[in-house]
Amino acid sequence: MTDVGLQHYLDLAERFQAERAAGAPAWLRAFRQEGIAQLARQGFPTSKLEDWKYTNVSPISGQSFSPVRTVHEAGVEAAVARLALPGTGPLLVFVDGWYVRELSRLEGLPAGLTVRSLREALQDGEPLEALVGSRARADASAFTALNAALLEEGAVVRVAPGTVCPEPVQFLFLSRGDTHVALASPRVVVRAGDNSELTLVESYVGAAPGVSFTNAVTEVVLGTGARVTHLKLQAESETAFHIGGLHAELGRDSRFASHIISLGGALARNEVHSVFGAEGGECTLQGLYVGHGTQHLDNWTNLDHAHPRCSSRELYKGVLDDKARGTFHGKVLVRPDAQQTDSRQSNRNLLLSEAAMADARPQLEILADDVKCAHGATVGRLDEQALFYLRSRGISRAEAESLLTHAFAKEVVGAVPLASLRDQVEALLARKLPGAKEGRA
Amino acid sequence: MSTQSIQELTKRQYEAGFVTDVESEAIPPGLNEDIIRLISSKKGEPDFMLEWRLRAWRHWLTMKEPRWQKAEYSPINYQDIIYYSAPKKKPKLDSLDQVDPEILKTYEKLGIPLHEQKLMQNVAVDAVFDSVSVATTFKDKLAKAGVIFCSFSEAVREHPELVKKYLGTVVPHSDNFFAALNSAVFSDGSFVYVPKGVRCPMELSTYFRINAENTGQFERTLIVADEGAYVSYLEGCTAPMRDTNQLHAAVVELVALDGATIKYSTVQNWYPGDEEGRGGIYNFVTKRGIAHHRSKISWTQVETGSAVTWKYPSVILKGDDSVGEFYSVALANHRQQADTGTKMIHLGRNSRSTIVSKGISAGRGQNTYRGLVKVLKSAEGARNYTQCDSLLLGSKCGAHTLPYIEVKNSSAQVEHEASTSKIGEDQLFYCQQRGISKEDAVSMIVNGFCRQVFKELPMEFAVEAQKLLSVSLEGSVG
Repeated sequence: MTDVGLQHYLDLAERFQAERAAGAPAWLRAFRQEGIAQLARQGFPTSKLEDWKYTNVSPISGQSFSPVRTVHEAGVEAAVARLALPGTGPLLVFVDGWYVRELSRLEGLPAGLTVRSLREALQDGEPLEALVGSRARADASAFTALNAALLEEGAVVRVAPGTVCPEPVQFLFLSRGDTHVALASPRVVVRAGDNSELTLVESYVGAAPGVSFTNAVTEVVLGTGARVTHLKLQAESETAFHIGGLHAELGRDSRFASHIISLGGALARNEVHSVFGAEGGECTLQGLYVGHGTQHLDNWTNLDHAHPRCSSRELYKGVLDDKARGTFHGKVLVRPDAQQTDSRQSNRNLLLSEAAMADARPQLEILADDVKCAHGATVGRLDEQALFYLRSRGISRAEAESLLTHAFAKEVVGAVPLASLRDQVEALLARKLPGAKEGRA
Repeated sequence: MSTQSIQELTKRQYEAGFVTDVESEAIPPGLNEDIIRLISSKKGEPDFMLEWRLRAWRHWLTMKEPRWQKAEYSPINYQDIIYYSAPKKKPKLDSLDQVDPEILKTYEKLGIPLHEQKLMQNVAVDAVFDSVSVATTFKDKLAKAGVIFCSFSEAVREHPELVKKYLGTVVPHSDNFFAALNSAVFSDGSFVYVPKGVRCPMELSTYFRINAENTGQFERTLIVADEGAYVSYLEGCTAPMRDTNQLHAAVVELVALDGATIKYSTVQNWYPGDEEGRGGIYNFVTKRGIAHHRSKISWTQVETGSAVTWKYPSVILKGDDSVGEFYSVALANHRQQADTGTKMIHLGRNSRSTIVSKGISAGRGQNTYRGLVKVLKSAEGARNYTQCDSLLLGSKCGAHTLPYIEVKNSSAQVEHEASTSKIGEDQLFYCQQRGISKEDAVSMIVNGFCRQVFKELPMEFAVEAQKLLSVSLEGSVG
């Protein structure tokens, strides 16, 4: 982190605030101002901070990324057609963080579901102060603060009580890649009413290789008995930077599932902050990170068991090749009165090359006694015996390695509860995982 | 769990709490360069020792007290501590008759009288009473085998070349805040050297006690096992009851040269403070070993005492095929806070490490396992297995598991497992149904929980450790 780098983002945010001050409601100005103040106070994290021990963000703070406003172009249209999931459900397209209405599909929403672009909602003067920032506070990290300071783009999703949404709501965040400075700061805010059901898909993809920075925040609040599945595909170009924070609060007896597939980015960090806001919630967190070259894939999760009788299941798997580095931080906090908590966490890393690196940092903090908590972490390479077994049956080494690596990833990919996304991920993995080509040849 | 028995536990008084009335020769409290020169001259140290102390002192001045550990405690005033204290009747004794009878009584109260120890044939005791060795036994037998086992001050006088060669090679004077402080002011400790190919004929043991009020203990232990040697070292600790907090910042360095084995066992039962957390020892210890080719270092610890424990016995697995082990039982009761674990740094090819940590939290105790397994690029074929289990007794205590795993070599295999649980009603019911009293059942389950660690302790210690644990937890649950 350099002061020069931080100054660029502070200046940027101040300018942004000034340009948009006219007509902006007081809460919004105060919200952006708090973002600026927190960014100035904290500065960009250094590896001396425990939460950033393994991740050096100076490639981000040292470059001058700035928001860009785009108009839609023909090439973009083709990329959207190629990268969006098939289906007719609601689709919101953002190009370099800028919402493009023409490419989106928001007609024919089922009764009880409202989906709006955040910019449009703000322009219409919707009172959003109770929604925006309810979970992701600007003091969480410098990046959350930066997102708050530049709040404008994103979406607001509301599901009325009892509404079951048949089709997933898809967000396609496209980096064009031809500009070298694009900073996207989308914020998605989701309110799922009591007993409602919703699936969300966030796809972060690059249309072409390029250096861009996506600093996304998603906030999901679940009412009593609500069920929300959040799926995220992070497949930006391998020169891009990505910091994403998913913040969820679970109501009584609600169920929340997060599946994150992280494949792209020179430096990518996916944070999940999940809090049980009442008793009886169930939370599933799954993640797969596949890195090669010099990719740095950081996974950071925090599960706060603040209330009794909640259960959580967490599985994160990493496949790391070449000089890639994968890190996992998984904190489970069981607060003093959160009796009968049932929590299990597992992190497994597969190293495919000599120079690949993995860091695992599971953390259990338990302050209640009637709990069942376990975590496990492993780092290793492919099992020699399994390889031998396959080779003794006439399968080439490359093919055997490919089979076992795919099988390793399959546990997470196979659990993605949306067939179209699963197919897309499998296609991406078939291209990315080593040995795949030789294996099929 | 019945409320009544939990109350019994919380009311349990510290059994080793008493003050021995021996006149101490102490220097005034406070810390400055003159005090360090005074300590050094009082001990008649050669120049290199004084220089080393001063280097450490100057470095310490530039350091900040770390606060990253889980434990919370009131700030330490380093100028309030007496940095040197020795019993006045400085003994050079041939037999126990010449030892101050008050001191002998102290040991008797603890149930470890010297003459009984003497009868135990296989244990030589170098009793550290406060800061100076009071009596050393079995010296002849060890001398015949060529083993040097003496107080640190004696080693500095008699074997300066060995001390000079190895002191600070594992824990440098600049290592951390408390190690630097220790390096500057350490009063005494033990020194062991086992020559090439010698298997030390008996378990070596030292009892550290903190006695004179307001005297921090700054022990320094250095154990060197030369090529192919074997030594098993036992350290046991108890301290009398006090109202003001006492600081204990010890440093232990182990050097296992090619093919050597060092087994270091600790039972720590210092005064944990009363039910409200008043008094009690601050135990901030740096323990580390370096393992060369085909050597093995094994740490076993049973930590039941101290108000705040903060220690990470570690192994640097420098040599190929070296082995590091860490077996730990840590108990945090009342308002005790234990932040302990280990670091295994894998440098050598095919180096292996095993970590088994059992944490028991009761009352308002907070128990933290914090460990690092680091596999560096050179550690081809490294292997680690870690298991951390926590047992919670009572709803107001806490158990924390904070492992760090950093792997930079793909051929490494690293596994970590952790679980947290309480004693189940069904387990108790099962035992009681078969005629086992609730208390026995709890003791059985807790002992079973710690078994993996206890079986690593030398026999004499295993008995003591089990007794200690059941005393500390008697009637606590069930």
